[in-house]
Amino acid sequence: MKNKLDVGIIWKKIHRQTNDLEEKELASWMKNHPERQEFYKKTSSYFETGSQIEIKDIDVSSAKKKIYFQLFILPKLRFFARGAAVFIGIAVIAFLFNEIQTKTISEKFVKRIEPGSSKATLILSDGSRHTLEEASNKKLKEKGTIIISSGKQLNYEALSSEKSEDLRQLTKRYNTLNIPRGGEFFLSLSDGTKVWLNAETRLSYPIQFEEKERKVELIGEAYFEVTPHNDRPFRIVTNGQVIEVLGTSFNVNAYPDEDLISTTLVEGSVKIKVDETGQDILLEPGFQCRIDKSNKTSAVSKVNVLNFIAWKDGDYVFDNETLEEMMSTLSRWYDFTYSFENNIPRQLRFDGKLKRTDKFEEILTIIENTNEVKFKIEEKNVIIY
Amino acid sequence: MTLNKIKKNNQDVFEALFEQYYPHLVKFAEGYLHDLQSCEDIVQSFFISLWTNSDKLSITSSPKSYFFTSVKNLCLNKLRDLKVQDKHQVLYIESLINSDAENEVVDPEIFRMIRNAVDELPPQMAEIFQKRYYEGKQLKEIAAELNIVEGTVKTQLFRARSTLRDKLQKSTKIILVF
Repeated sequence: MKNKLDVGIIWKKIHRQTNDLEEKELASWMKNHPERQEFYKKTSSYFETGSQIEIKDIDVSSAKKKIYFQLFILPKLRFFARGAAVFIGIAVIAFLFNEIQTKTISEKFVKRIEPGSSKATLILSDGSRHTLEEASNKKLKEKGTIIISSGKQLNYEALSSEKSEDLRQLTKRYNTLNIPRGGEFFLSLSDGTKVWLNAETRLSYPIQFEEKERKVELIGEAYFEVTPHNDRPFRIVTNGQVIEVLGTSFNVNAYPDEDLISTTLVEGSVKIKVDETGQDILLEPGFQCRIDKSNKTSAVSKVNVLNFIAWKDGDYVFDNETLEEMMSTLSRWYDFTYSFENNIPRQLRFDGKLKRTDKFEEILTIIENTNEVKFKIEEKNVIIY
Repeated sequence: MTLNKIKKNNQDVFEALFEQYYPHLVKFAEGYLHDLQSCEDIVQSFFISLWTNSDKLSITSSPKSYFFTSVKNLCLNKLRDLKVQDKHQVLYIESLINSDAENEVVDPEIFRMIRNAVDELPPQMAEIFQKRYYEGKQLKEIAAELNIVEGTVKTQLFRARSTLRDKLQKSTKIILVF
């Protein structure tokens, strides 16, 4: 038995078109629920006799007074009440109570959950940590290299004066860029390769790449535009696969807390070595490889690549994504935790496009407007019910 | 644009919009909640949040359709608590059938379909429907004008709405808004 009643059944009931199953559904929905019986009564009579409200009978002016009081007089009263007599205090408390009840949850709390911004921690080869934030420039130095942060972007520039022996040393020195939840950063490596790093992501790379190969380690999600270098492959090591490329653009999504690793190729070609099976997968542009760590399977399929790289340009595009996937993606950028109440269909699929700068409450409202789920926010935890 | 003025916290514009839309929104909400008190409450809370959230508003549709869509969603939220859903837009169409011609802009597409469907009704039924909903006449007045008993007017209206609904249900598709 579904727990929600489709109003169409009440319509059919009025027109004597219900079948036994629908009769039963209606009866069990109403049983022991006086408020539902009341709704049934009101709806049937509306269906039978039509509207009972005449436009001219609606009292606009007293409604106006009521909301004017709430919007414009009450705030002043509240201020006044601090020093005023107790009875006014009581009146105000009564109104406040009333107001709290009518306000939706999103209005009250959401301000604490904000969209992400450019932020990262850079760990140099000597272990020192440097916080990179928007609107703060930083210039750091590793041997033979100048590292410049504009607050949104990190650049590695080699000092040409270094001797080649010193350069070889540099290939052994690793830096790590750590993006927290609610953060993103852009990185330009010493070979000119560009990397957009999404929230909750960590990338380790040498200050200078070796002559034979360029190797980085990734946890999380990043979009790469690899500068072509003949005979000097670029390798991305993640937990579960190694991607090998010469020069191409692609997105890698490899979060340790998710079963799927997906690699989406925009242009060029990549080879993926699957850890578990030792299998090699060659990917063509417009295709995505998904490796499932839980059951050790891999699949390649054609996808709309723009959906998967939209995040680097400030959008989220959800194309047939489950509620659970969507919450997981949003939680990294808006930095919140979430939990589902029982009976919430986590596999419900959604389409939609959001701006990463959208206020969190707007996003929740948009999702609530589908009338499939509701949200309750407690501090930084979102309950889906 | 008027909504930009609300954004700038212009009380006069807010007041004008309230006066213009409040009654129609209440009547529209009746199609979902069926009682004056809850309808007034829900439309009032909509206007309060319109004002308090005016700085956060980002509206791409016309103000009118934004207003009606918002009230519709608030009503549906309320029904959700009663464990009721409107899978086939029964309530939406009922509400539009029952509303006056002024609501045309809410959903011009459906409104055009309603008009076409009304034209296809048997002549007397169509006439009664017109008088009741487009001209806003009382059952009593209609009965007197057409020289029939009130009970007949009532029955004819019920049949008219049933026929309309059946027609509309076939031609409207369900839209999950996102």
